[in-house]
Amino acid sequence: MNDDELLARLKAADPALTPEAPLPDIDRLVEATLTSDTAFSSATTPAGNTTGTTARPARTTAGRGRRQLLGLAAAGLLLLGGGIAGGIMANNGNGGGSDNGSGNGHAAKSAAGLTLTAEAGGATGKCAEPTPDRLRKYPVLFEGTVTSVKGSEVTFRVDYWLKGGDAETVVLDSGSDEVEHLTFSEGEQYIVAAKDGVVPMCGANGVSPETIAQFRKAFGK
Amino acid sequence: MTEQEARRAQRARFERLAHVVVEPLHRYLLRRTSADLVEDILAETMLVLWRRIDDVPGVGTGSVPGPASDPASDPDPDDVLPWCYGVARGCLSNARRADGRRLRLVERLIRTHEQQPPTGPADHSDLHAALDSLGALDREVVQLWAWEGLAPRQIADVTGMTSNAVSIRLHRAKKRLAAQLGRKDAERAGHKRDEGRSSQ
Repeated sequence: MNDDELLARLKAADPALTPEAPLPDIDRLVEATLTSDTAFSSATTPAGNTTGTTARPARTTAGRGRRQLLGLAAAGLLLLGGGIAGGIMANNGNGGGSDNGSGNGHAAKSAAGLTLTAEAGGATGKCAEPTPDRLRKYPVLFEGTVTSVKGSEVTFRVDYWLKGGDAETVVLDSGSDEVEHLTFSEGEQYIVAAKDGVVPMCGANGVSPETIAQFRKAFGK
Repeated sequence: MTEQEARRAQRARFERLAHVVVEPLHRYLLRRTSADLVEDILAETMLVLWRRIDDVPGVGTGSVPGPASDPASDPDPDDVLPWCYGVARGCLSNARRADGRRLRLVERLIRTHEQQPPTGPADHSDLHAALDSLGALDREVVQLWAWEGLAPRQIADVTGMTSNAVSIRLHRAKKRLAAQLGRKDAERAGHKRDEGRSSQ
């Protein structure tokens, strides 16, 4: 068998000849790349152009796809609980609907720190992955990293205010008897929604970088 | 040039690069991993390419100011692809390393699942078996040569070896592959003759 024969044989067996996967949508892929990385690019683009060096990001997202693989089954289960919890949340939103938008300034505007309490309730279901649409109705919305957990008191360093607030830290009293549905661990990122100084059920969620990107995009800040 | 213009130019360069490399990269990954992982690793690869857009050879530097300094022409695939394959290769091995055995098991299951019905006009199981018998780097070099259609110099860019080392490795791997396939073919021919005789 000579080179040409071998090449022909290899080419005939090319797995990409009959692709089962659809061709990638280039524009969508470009868009996804740029949006998932806007924070990085805005921080380093000027430096990269003036000095000719390129910063290497430390953060990688490798492995999230595989996590999804395992998470698929879990997500199916969560959807069920999330549906119930979502219904409860919608009721809460309607019930206290007199106060919206900037009305919460008295709590949110304190630069030193914002104090919130978690809503009491007996829900046992898990919360579904937060979406911008579901949390849009809350006047206070931020993404933060947990810096300390002391008993029922959780302190957040605010990474990003999505809506209505400017405090750098937020203290959340999660209520000692509510550990069941609000569990916080240090160093993790959460998206927290609040209304009238109260975090509703499913209003504080541990989130992945993709979800954060999704929120930042949705709230366009 | 304002910061905003610079960023826009950078985006434009990235978009032109994407239009040239996405489909070849997609095929590259399709040849080496399962279809459902391809999308993730491709997205990861694009993220790296965007972050390192200034390092991609053959895309223009973009740091030259002035009108029309950034050529609006698409980058030459021969210039950019080997480097981009190298990035995809890195992302692929990162993904494999990260998930280690579990992922390999998944891939193996998929492969055996796909191989079970020997469908299609031609059965390539002999060839795949022969490829699997090569070392990982030998196999990659042969695949880059046959499927991605790269020259030894370009394979060197992808793998970080010298062109010389690639040429030698490629030569030996092809010889081993051909020998193994030749043996299989001979076995099968002999087998067929036997069958023919016994049925008469």
